[in-house]
Amino acid sequence: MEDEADLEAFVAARGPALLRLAVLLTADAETAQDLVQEALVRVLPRWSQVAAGGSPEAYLRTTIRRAWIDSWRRRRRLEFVADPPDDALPTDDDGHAVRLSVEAALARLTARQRTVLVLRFYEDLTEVETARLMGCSQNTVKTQTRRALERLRVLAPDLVLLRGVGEAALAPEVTR
Amino acid sequence: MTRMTGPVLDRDRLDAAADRMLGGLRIDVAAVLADREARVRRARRRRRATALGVVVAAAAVVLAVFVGLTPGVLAQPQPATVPPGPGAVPTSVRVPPPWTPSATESPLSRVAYVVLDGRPFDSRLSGSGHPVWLVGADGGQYRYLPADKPQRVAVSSDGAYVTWIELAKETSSLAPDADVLRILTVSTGAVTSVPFPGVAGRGFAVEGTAFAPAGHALAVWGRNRVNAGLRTTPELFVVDVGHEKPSARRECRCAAPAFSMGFGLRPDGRLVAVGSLPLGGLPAAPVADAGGVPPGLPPGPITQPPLLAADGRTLYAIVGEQLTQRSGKSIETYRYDLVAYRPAARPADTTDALVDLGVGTAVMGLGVGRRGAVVSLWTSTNGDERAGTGPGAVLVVDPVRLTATTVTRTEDTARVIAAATAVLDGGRSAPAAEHGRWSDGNWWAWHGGRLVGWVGGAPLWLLLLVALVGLAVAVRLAPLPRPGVRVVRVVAGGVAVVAAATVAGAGAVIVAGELLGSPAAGSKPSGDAATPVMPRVLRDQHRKPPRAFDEAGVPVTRRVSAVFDATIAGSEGPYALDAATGRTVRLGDLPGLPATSNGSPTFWRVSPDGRYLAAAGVLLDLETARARPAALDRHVIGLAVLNDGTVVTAAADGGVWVERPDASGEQVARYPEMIVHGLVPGPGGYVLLRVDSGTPVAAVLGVRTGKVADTRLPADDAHAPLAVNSRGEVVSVSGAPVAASIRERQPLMRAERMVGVSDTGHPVYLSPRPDRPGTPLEIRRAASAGDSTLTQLRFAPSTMQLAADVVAAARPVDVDEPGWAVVADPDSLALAARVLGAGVLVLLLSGMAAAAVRRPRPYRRGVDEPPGAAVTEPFVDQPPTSG
Repeated sequence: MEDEADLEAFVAARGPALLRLAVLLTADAETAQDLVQEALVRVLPRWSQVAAGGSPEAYLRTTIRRAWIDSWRRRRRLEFVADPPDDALPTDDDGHAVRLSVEAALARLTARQRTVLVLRFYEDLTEVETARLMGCSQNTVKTQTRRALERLRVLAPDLVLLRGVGEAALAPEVTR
Repeated sequence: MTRMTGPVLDRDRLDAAADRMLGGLRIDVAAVLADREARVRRARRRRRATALGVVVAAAAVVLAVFVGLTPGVLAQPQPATVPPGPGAVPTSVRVPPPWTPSATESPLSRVAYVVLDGRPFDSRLSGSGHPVWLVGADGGQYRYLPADKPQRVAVSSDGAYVTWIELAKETSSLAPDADVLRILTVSTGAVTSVPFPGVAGRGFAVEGTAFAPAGHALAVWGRNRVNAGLRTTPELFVVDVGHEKPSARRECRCAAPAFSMGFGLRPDGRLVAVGSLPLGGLPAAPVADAGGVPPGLPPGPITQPPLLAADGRTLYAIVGEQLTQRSGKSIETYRYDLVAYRPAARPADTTDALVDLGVGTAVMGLGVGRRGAVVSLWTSTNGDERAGTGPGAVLVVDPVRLTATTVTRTEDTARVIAAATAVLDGGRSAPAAEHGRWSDGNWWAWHGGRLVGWVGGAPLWLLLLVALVGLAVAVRLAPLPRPGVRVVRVVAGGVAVVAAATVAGAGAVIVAGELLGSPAAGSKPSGDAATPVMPRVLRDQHRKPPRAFDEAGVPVTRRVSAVFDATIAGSEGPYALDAATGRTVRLGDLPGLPATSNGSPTFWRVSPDGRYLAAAGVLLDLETARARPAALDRHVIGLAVLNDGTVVTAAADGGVWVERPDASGEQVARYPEMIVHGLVPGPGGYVLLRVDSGTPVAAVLGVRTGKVADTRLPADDAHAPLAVNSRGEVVSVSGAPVAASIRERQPLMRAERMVGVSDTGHPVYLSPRPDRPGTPLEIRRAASAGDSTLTQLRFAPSTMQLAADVVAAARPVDVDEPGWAVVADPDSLALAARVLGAGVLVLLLSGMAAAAVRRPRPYRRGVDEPPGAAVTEPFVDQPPTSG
C-alpha cells in the first residue's frame, strides 16, 4: 500500500514528462499512454528498490525506451501508425514543400528515424548507447539520424536549430 | 564518442508538440495496479503448477528408486497352494503384458503351458524381453520364466516343475564351461541348478531333454566338448527333479557316433531310445530301429522327435508335406500329419494311422497323455518358427478315433512349446485370464522400473540429487519463506562443492591412469636368466603390459615361457610370459613386426627354449630382438618352431615344409589325401605331426635327418594328446601306451592337454585339475618325482603355447602388481569418466538450482542503473513551452 501511494505521488509529479517522452517516440497519444503504463507495470514489483535508489525517473525513462524498442521490434503488443514512405513529402499545388507542425512532422517520420532522433537529441544518448539500445550498428544510427534531420529540415525547419545539420550530425565533435 | 556542439533540435518545441499530441491525457494508475495484479495472479498460477509438477516428478523419481531397487520390499513371494482336482487349460493364449511378474516373484500353483513369445526373436517387433512365459493351470495366470536365454524348456506332466537349459558361456576354447540344468519348482518359485560332470573337466553340451510321461524324471542327453566346436561321445543323464537336492545320474555313455532323435522314459523308469541311435550302446530296449524311421511310416520328413506314449510302445511322429514356398520372405507352409506307430510282435499289427493336423509353418509335439498326443501348430509371417506373428493352436490327437481336437488357440506371437499332459488329461477348459492395469500392483511396479530405466540406470546418489535439485527449484517457484530459500541455497552450494571435488578427483584419476597405464619401456629382466621363472598365479592386470622390446636390435625379453592370446588390461592381443621375470609382456605391436590383414599376427608358436616365436608370416628372435618374414607364402594350417629357429609348416595341400635358419626351405613330406594339423615340437629335434583322413596318424618328423615316421593312432580319440620320446617314437596317447586298447587306456587317460615335451622328455600340460572340474586353468609339468603345478591361470586365454624346455626347468615365483596400478585399470578409467560426466551434470544442475534461488539484490545507484540512465540522471522536467 505504501508503494502504491508512493507510485501515485510519483506519477502525479513526473507522469507528464514520461508521457511526453512516450508520445515523442510513438507519435500517438493512446500508444504513448499504453507504453508508459506498461513500463510502470514492469517497474512496480521493484518500485521500493527503484525508489530507494534515488532516481526512479531515470529508471522509468530507460524502461520506456526499452519497452518501446521491444514492442517496435516485435510489432505485437502496441500498435503503431503506419510509417509513411520515405519520399512522401507533402507539396502544394506548385510542387513546393509544405511546412508542417512539429507533431505532424514527427508523424511523417518512420518509427526508426523518430526513435533515433528522440534518443539522440531529446534523451541525449550517445551514438554508441543509441546503437546498443536499438540493436543496430553506429553507422545505422548515423544514417538514420542524417535522413531524419534532412527530412525535418523540409517538414519542420524551425525544429532543427543547427544549419547544415546533415553534415553536422555525422561529424565527430567535442565530447561533453 | 560524438556530441553535438549545441542543441540540434529545439526541445521546447518538442515538449510543446508532445503536450498538444497528448491533449491532456493522463496516466491511469489504477489501471497500472490492476494490470500488475492480473499479471501477478497469472504468474502465481504458473509457478504453482510448475512447482507442483517438479515436486511430483521428484517424488516419482524417489518412489521409482524405492520401487525399482527394492522390489522385494513391496511383494514377498508367497508359495502357491495347489488346489485339489484337475487343472484346466485356457481356451486361448496370448502373450501377456510386460508388467506380468515372474514365476519367482509370484508363484503359480501349477503350469498348463509354456509359451514362447515370438517378439524377442523378431527385429521388427518390440517385445518385453522375456521370451518364455508360463500359463497357470488354475486360472490361466501368466508368469514369465526368470531366465535370460532358456533353451530346451520342458514341463513335467503334472505341471509342477519347469526345466530349462542355460548354455555355457564359451569364454575360452581351452576351458569350455558346461551347460546347466535349471529347475523351477512352480508352487514355490524356487530355482535350483544341476551341473553336469564333464569328462576330464571339459564342458557338457546338452542336446535335448525329455520328461517321463508320468513322474518327475527328466532325461538329459548331450556330449562333452573337447574344444570349441568339437564334441565327443554322447551321454545320457537322468535327473529326479522332484528330489530335494536333484543331481544328474549318468545313465550311459553311448559309444555311438551320433544320434539325432532323443530319448524317452517309460513309466517304469526304463529308458527308451528313438532315432538313429545304434542299439548296442543302450541299456534298454529301443522302439525305433537303426534306420531312424520306424518301418511303416509314410515317406516324408519327420519334423520333430517322435513322442512316446505312456505304455512305452506306441510312437507318434509328425510328418510334413511342403505346400508353398515363398523365396522372397522364406515362408514355407506345410500340411502336417501325425502318424501313430505301434510296433508289434507281428508286422501285420503295425498301424500307420494318419491324422490331419492342418496347415502351418511350424509344429511341435508336446507329449502324450491319456487323451492322446498333444501337438502345437502355428503359423508365422516371418517363416521362422520362433519369430514373427501368426495364430496357432494346441491340438489333442485321439489315436483311436483319428481326430484332432483344438483345445487352445494362440494369438499373435504366442507359441505353446510345452504342455503338462496330466492337466490336459483332466479335460477342463477355462477362459483366458484378463490383464489389469491401474488395479494391478505389478503395473505400477513395472512403470516405476521403467522410470528408473529412463533415468539411465544412474546411480542412486545421482537420482537423489536430481530429486534434491527438483525440490530446490520447487522451493524457489513456490512462495516459501526466506529461511527455506536459504536452506536450499546452502544445500545447492554444498552439492556444487562436492560435485566440483568429484570432478576434480575423477579428472585426476584419469590423468594419473593415462600417465601410469602405458609403460613406455619394456621391463628389464631382474632375475637370473639361467633359471627361468613362471608366475605362481597369472591373472589379468590393471596396467597395460610392456612390450617384449621397444627397439629392434635392443633385446629386453630374451626368453619366454608361454605365449597366449588373451585380453589383458582391457586390450585383446598376443602376450607372453618373460622367462626371466615371470611378468607378462605384449607381442602385438613390437617394432619391425609386419602387420597382417587383421592387424598384428596372432596364434604365436614358441620354440621349446622360448627364444623363437613364430606366427603366420613372421619369425621373431627375442635374443636379437628382430623379426623376419618366415613360413613362406603357403596357406599354413600348422606351424612349429624349433630351438635353432627352424620353422616347420603344414600346408593345406598336405605338404610339410621345413624352413631352416638360413632361409632355405624344402618339402620333406606330403600327405595329399590327408589333412595335416597339430604340429608339436618334441625333444631331440623331432616334430610331431597329426595327420587325419579318417584314420588318425601321428607322423614324427626328424628335422635333423629329414625323415618321417608314421604311427597309426587309435581311431576312437582323434584329438588325444600325444607324447614322443627323444628317439622320435610316439610313446603315449593321452598319457597311456599307444598299443593299449581303449578299455586299458581309459583309466590312464589324463585330463590335461599336453602342449609340449621338454628336451629332457618331460611333458608339460595345460589343464583344469581333474579332481575339480571347472577350476581355473593350470600349467603343470610331469617329472620323475611326479606332477607339479607351476602356474594357476585366473583368467581364460583363448590360446596358449608353452615353451616346454623353459617350463620344465622353471620355478614358480610371486609376481604381483603394485597396489596403485588399480588407477590404470581400464574399468577404473571408464568409471572415472562416468563419474566425471555425472559430476559435470550435477554441477550444472546445482548451478541452475543456485541461480533459481538467488536472492534479488537491492537496487544500487550507479551500479545497477541501466545503460543510458547516467546521462539522463540530471533530467529535470521542463514545463512545456509554446512553440
